[in-house]
Amino acid sequence: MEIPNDDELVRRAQEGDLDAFNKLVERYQVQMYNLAIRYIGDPFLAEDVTQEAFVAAWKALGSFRGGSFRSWLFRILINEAHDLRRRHVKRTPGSLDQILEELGEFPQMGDPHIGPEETAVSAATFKAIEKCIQKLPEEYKLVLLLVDVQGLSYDEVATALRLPLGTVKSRLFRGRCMLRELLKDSGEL
Amino acid sequence: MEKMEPTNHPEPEKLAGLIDGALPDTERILVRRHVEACQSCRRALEEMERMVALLRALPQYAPRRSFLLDESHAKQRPVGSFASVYASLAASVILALGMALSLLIGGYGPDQPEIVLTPEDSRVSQESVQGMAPTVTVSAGMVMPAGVGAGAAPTVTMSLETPASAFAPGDRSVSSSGGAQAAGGVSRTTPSASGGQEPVETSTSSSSDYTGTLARTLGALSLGSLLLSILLFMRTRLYLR
Repeated sequence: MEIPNDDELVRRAQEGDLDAFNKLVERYQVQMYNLAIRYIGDPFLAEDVTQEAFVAAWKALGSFRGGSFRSWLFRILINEAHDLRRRHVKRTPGSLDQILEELGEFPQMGDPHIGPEETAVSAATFKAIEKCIQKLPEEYKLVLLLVDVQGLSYDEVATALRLPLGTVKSRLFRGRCMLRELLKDSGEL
Repeated sequence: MEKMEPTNHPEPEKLAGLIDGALPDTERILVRRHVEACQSCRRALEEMERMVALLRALPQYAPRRSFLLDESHAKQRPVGSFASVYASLAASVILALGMALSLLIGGYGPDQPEIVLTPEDSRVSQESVQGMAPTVTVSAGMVMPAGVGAGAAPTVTMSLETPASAFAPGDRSVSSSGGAQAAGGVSRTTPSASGGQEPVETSTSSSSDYTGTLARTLGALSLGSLLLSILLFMRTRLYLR
C-alpha cells in the first residue's frame, strides 16, 4: 500500500479530514517532542507544548501555503514554546541536573550508536552533550538543534525561524564552535 | 624546515558547509585543499565532524503519550486556505464597492414628492367609482379604508390642491394634483389627535423605495461580509507570526 506523502495528507486535512492530519501527527510527533524537550529543557512542559502545537497547526492548516510542512510545524512549535516562556516559565538555578535526571528516566528510541563502526557511545557522553546544549545561547541552540539533531536542511531552518540563509549558517557555525569548546572543557572531545 | 601553514583560512561558515555537504563543488574543492594544508583548520574540522556525529546520534526520547487529535478537535475545522480567504475577501470588496457605487449613482431612487396637507389647505375630494364599487370619502385627519365593498377593486381618485405657501423653502414637494396616484403608491395618512388641526404628513412610497431598501440591505450585507472576511483573514495570519 502506497504511503501518502505530506502534500497529499495536508490537502486532505485542509478539507477537514482529521484522520489524514493524525497521520501527519504520527509522522512528526517524535521529532516535535524531541525538539521541544531539548529547547525547553522540561519533559513535562515539552509534552504540553507539543500537544498545543499540533492543535494550533490543525486550526491554522488553512494558512499553510505549501513548501516544507515539517518546517511549518516546527515554526508553530517554536512559537508555542516562546509563548509558554513568556507566560510563566522561569528556570530555577540548578534545575538542569534535575532535568537531565528526568530525561534519563525517559524511554529512548533505539540504541545510540555513532560512526561507521557502530561504536556504542556511553550514556555519560550523551548526558554531557545534553548538558552542554542547555548552556548554549537560545539563538544558537535552536539552529543547532534543528540542523544537527533534527536533521533539517538550511533552507528548512531558514523557513522555520524566518531567518536569512546566511544568518542560519553563521549561527550554526558559532553554535558548533561554542559547543565544541564546552565539550572540550568537559573532556568529551 | 617546517612547512608554512596557509594564512588565508576559509570563512567559518564554509567549514560548517563542508561538514553538511552544502558547498558548491568548486568551493568544496578549494576548502578541502586548504584544510589538507592547514593543520589548525584540519583539527577544527575533525573535532567539529566528531561533535556533529555525536549530535546526530543523540537518542530520541519517546513521548509518554500520543499527540493524536481526537474527535473534539474535529469540530474546530481548519480555516479556509489562503487562496479561498483571499478570494472571499476580494469578492466582498468588489461587492461592497459595487453596492456603494450603485447607492451613490442611483441614490435611494428618484426624489419622491412629500405632500403636506392641512385641513384648511387641502381638500381631498373624492372618487369616482364605477359600478358596484363603494364610495370612499377621504377627509383630512381621517382615513376610510378603500376596497371594502365586494366586486371589482375600486378606483380612488385623490385630488390635492395645496398652495405653495404651505411648503417650507427647500422642501421637496409638489403642488400638483394626483401625485400619489401618479406615483402608483399608497397614501398613508396620519390622523391628528387634535381633530385635524395640525398638518398631516403624507409621504408616498414607490417601487423606487423598495429598490432603495433593497440596495441598503444588500449594502449592509456586503459590508458585513467584508468585515467577516477581514476577521477570517486576520485569524489565518495569526498563525504566521
